[in-house]
Amino acid sequence: MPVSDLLPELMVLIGAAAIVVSASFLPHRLHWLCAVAAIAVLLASSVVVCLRWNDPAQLTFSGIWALDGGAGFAKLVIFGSAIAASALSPQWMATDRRHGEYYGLLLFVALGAVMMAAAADTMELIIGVLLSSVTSYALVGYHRQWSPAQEAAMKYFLIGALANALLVVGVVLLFGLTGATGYRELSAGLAANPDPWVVTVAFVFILVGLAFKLGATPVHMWVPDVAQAAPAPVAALVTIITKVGAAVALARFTLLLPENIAWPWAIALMATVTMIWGNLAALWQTNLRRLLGWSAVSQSGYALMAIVVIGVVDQALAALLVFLASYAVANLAAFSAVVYLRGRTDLSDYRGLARQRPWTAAVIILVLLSFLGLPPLVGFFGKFLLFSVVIEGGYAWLAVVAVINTVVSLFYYLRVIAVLVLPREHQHSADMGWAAGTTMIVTGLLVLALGLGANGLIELARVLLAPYHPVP
Amino acid sequence: MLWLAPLFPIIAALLLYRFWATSPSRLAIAWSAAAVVFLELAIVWFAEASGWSGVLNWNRHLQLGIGFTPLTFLAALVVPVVAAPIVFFAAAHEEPERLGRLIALLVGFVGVMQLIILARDLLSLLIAWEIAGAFSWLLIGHRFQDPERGRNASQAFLVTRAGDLGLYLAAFVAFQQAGNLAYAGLDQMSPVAASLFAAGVTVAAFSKSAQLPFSPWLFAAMSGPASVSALLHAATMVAAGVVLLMQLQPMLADVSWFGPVLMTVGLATALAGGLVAAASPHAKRLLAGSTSAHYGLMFVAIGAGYPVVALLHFALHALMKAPLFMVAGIAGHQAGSYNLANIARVRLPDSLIYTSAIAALALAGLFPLGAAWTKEGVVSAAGVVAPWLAIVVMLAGGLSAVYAARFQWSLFLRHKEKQPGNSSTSGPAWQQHGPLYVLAVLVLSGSVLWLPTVNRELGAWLASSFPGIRLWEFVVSMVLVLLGLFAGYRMVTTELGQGGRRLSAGRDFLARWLFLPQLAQRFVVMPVDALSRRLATLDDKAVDAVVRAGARFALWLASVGVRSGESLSDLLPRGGARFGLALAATSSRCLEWLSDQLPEAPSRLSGLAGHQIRRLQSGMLHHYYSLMAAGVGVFVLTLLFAIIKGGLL
Amino acid sequence: MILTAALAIPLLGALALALWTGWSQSAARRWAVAVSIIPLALMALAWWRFDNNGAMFQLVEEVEWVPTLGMGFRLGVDGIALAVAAMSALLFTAAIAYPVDTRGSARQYYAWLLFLEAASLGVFLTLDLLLFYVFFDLTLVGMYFLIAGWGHGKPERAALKFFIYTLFGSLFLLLAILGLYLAADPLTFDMRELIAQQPLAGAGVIASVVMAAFLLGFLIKTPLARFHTWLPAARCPRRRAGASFRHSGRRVVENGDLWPDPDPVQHDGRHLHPVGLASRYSGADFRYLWLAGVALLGLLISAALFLRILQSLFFGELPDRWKSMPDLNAIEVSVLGVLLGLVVLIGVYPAVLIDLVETSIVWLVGGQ
Repeated sequence: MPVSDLLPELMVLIGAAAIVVSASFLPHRLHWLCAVAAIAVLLASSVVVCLRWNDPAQLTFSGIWALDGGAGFAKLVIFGSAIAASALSPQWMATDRRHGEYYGLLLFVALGAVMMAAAADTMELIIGVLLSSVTSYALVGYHRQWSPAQEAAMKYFLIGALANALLVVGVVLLFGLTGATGYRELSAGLAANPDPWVVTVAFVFILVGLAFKLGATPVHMWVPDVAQAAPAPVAALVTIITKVGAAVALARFTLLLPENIAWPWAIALMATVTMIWGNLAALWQTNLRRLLGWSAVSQSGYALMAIVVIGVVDQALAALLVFLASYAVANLAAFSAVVYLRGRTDLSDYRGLARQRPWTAAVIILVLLSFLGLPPLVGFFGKFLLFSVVIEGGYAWLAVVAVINTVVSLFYYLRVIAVLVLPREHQHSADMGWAAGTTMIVTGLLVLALGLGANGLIELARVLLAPYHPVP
Repeated sequence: MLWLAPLFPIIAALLLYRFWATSPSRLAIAWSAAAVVFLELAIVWFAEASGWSGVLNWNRHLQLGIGFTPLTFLAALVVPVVAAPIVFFAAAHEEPERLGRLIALLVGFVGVMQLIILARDLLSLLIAWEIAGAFSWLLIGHRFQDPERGRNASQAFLVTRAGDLGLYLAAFVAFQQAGNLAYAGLDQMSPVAASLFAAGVTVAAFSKSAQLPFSPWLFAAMSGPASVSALLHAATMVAAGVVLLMQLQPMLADVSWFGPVLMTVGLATALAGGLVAAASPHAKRLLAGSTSAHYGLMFVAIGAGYPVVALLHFALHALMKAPLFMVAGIAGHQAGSYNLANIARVRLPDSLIYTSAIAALALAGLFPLGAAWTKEGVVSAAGVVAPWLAIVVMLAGGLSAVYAARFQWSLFLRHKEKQPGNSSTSGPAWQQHGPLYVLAVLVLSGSVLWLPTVNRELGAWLASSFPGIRLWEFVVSMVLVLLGLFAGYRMVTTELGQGGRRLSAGRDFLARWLFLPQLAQRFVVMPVDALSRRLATLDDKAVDAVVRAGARFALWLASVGVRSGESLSDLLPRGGARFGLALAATSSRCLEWLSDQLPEAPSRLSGLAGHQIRRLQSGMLHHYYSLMAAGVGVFVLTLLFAIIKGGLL
Repeated sequence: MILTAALAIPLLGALALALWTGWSQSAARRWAVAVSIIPLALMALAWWRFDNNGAMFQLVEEVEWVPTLGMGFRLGVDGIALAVAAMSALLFTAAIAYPVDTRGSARQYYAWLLFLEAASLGVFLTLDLLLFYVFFDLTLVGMYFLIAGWGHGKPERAALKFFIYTLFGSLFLLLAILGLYLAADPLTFDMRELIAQQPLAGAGVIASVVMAAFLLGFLIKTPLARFHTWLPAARCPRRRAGASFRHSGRRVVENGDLWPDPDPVQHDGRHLHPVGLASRYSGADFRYLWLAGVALLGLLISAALFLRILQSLFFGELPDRWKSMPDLNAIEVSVLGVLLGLVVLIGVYPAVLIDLVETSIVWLVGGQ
């Protein structure tokens, strides 16, 4: 029964609609109930995903929708991130008149990302990309009185417009070449008629379109602005879930490409440039949220490394997923801390935090060390798997590049840590309340716990393993 | 159990240190210290009688062992016998400040020396050898308030240490060859290894025993108190080299160059040391020169194949050199200076005249004193190899008569007319003089060696034979000694006539030990010092140091060029040297710049790139779009390039 | 359980210091000393239990951690590791007991020190290559915070530099570990397994590359470690000597590289005369005579350095500004006394150490 295959997505969709509707009835002071509802829906969907964990991988809905391990894992990460973002939001949005609808939009963004991750059809991919894009434009500009937010949203939108257009053009070219949009047919068509010129151009367009969602060079410019000016929970969510969805989509898509396209080189190039660009730009940041944004760019570069070897190394997808999960957890924890501190962004405001709020500082330090890839935090295992698959796939130079980049990134992470532990005279400041605090602690603990219990995470990613390979 | 012999003085020194440091009574200190050393003598005696030996296993290769041979037993007896009066004298004579430390070190040194003597393997030897170096450093630098003494102590230590490296080399070779370090296994080395081993050991022995070219460290060592000099020269530090080679001589006799080198260097040192001593205007340096000369004679004996002669000469030299240093100490104390011209102006205690004379005559090698017999032994030993060698040794003996006479008469000539000097800070006279009398009596009693029965018995006991003393050698030798004594007397009288006139260039050259100390300073101490300082900074700037050293080297080369350019200005155009200098300066500047840049540049570069990249985040949409377009272009080009290159078209 | 406890107890001690804020300065210190004595005692126990003629690795403990990657919490010691771990435990106890100006944050200082102790011991005790890397990086973290918090001069800068340099090294180490790991079959980080498999034997260039990465990692770690920056000024003059020793060729690569020495004073002490005589023979092989020659020069140079230090410390008049400086107090004397006592003991009778280490060394150099 195909409809039930999409139960998690449908639940999110219906839940989003219900929240939007109910928000118009509920009095403003009760809008936090929408957050509860969103979390409930997301939890329920996650449960459904888990229940179907062991179902065999398959395509559904005439082959446009993949139900495989990659999609399942991505769904869990995306839903989990959305839950955390929802939990962070009530106090943040409490004074906003449109508080209730906000959760509807959150769910739509998540749905878009899930669609990207599960798409086995180029049209489906476009719809996922557009859904997540359009809703996230709105979310990013939610603080419409605040000019940086407007600027960020505008930038995001304009860049997205071109990128999405390129994506569509790429899809059209492929359709013109093969007459198909479904991956199964596409794969067969490309094998039969591997015109390198058209395929190259189409691939590059699609790559750039997805790079926009990944936040990879050359379409990364929106990331720091969004990280800085969007509502902090949104910033966390957007930097994570679009990346997860797009990475899985890209991994899935590259497998279609015929042999005569040297796509790994293009992706390796993109990975290298993205890492370097993100790290260098982060070096002198004095704004913590922007710094997190740039670091998100460089993390995209690391993630791309796994896609480079996706066709040749069995564990590549597992490495990608574990890395994305580790990034998601750490990034959520980081933004939770920012939210908990009422969104303070300037680095100098963090001076002496370690004395003032040791727990918050500890979470931030843990997160940064996890980004860095220090064991035994979860980030270490993510990076470790990446390096291992890249070396195994014969791209050892990429690992060396990543190592050098990691050393460069150490500079700005440590700059933050040093600021945190610097002494400063006592100054009292308010925080964002228990919900944000709890989220922060939970995600912070996850950074440590998933590191110590990395086996479970890796096992999970390994079992599902191989994405659904469309047989030509 | 034999470990007690070397350890007893050290432990006793540690235990008694507090007492020595606090006790107000010099007499108590003197007696207790001397008692410790006497006990040590008794221990050695008893240990030999009961056949003790000592072994300590480090692992299955390395084993520390000590034990007696007839030769080492005698040496082990000599050390405490000479050291006991010295420590007594030190307690009575030296300034009260930090006296306890001095005494403890002197007593401890006896133990260390015993370990050097008794060691039956290179490892024990090395340990003792190094500790001896450290002790000597401490003793020479005893008056630490004066930085100059610190420098002298360091110089002495570094020069001897440079030679010690030879011992390490020898140990490496021995270990590689035999798999252990015991003396017993040394005779199975391959010829090359034996040669290498001998070279290492010889260099080490030369450096400790102040042979050329290491001799000058003795001058630096004169910074220590007189009793320290007495102990170092007579019984401990300097003797180490002779004691070592004396034991190893049988194993190294097969190395063809070993004997000749020993004799050549020994003779050269004996002559040079004699000349230095004869020329020196400084009482202690005179004695230092004589020390190196006499140790040179011992090396001649070893080189000629008669280590036993060297041993006996060592023993008698110890007995006579100790009182001479003590006399010099008392004289220097009273005159406030060790300059012979100053000493000549003060009146020393009358009772010292005869003790000093006995020791000086022994130093001169005048019949019938025991030292003369051993010196004649050296002459005959050299004569066995070649008669002309014997004549050179006799000449060296004549020189020792010159300086012995010079010493004695500088101190005591026209004695009755002089003013008594200052003796306020020292202990009572008898305490200071007592040890001198004891040693003088011992020197005198050494004369019995001339009795044929005595020396035959001794030979039997030591299981060795002595070279027969030939009549002509004896006669020529004695004539030379008498001539030397007269010459020494003449020198003193003319010096007194001239007053404290400046030394002639030649004598100055000699008195400064052929400028060897300066050479040592320049070629050993300074380079090592500089190198070590360089290396120390290497930690901070790893690349830096190497590069800068290169620059330094270039500068140095250039400066050498300049110097040679100046000295050979006729042949070498100065311009070349100037050019070299300029080149070096430039290159040094470039290199320094480079060395600064190497570690910093990447970080600065990435920082700069960070700034630039942030500028691209301009907020201008056309920038962003063009970037995207460029990205698309680059990716397409990459793929096309791959296609074309891969021939997939 | 001995080894696990030796790691866990300082870690728990550190946690106790970190979590409860009510520690007074002296209570924190006493607690830290008390905690740090336990691993020392455990190491002594391990030493006692260690059978010199037994298996290469003993006291092995194994718990699976990430079995999918072949990584486990594997602890065990051979002679060398036991010796350095025991020494390390001793040095940590000494460093903790030694009174230091903690600048008003004794609790944090001792917490980090205990954390560093756990990590350092982990480095020596682990039998799992990846676990080794984990501990290795944890020591960097510990050191970073100690240097940044209690260093001299410009501590933050020094700490940053330290971390960047050493992380660079440690990441290459990780790549090397990966290279080794990927060559093994089945994939495992178990050192015993890897030793048995020799996965890179005959692998030519790859083996060289992996070896080079290991070397790079260790080399960067060794000379650039700036332990001194967080040491009290009183002990700073000795730094240069410590530095020189690293260059004098006497520090054999082996485990010496991994020695996160918290206190260069003792570090110098280890080389003090007459110790180390035995170790100097390790390099004595005819083929490498030139190496021995270089090492000999090192002897001379180190002597010169020590003389410089002694000369500048002890010769000349006492400057006025030092006249008020108090002498060592009882605790300092006892700490230094114990360490110097060991220096002398091991120097005079090194069999205690050599017997322990020898079997492993023989094995390492592929001897009998």
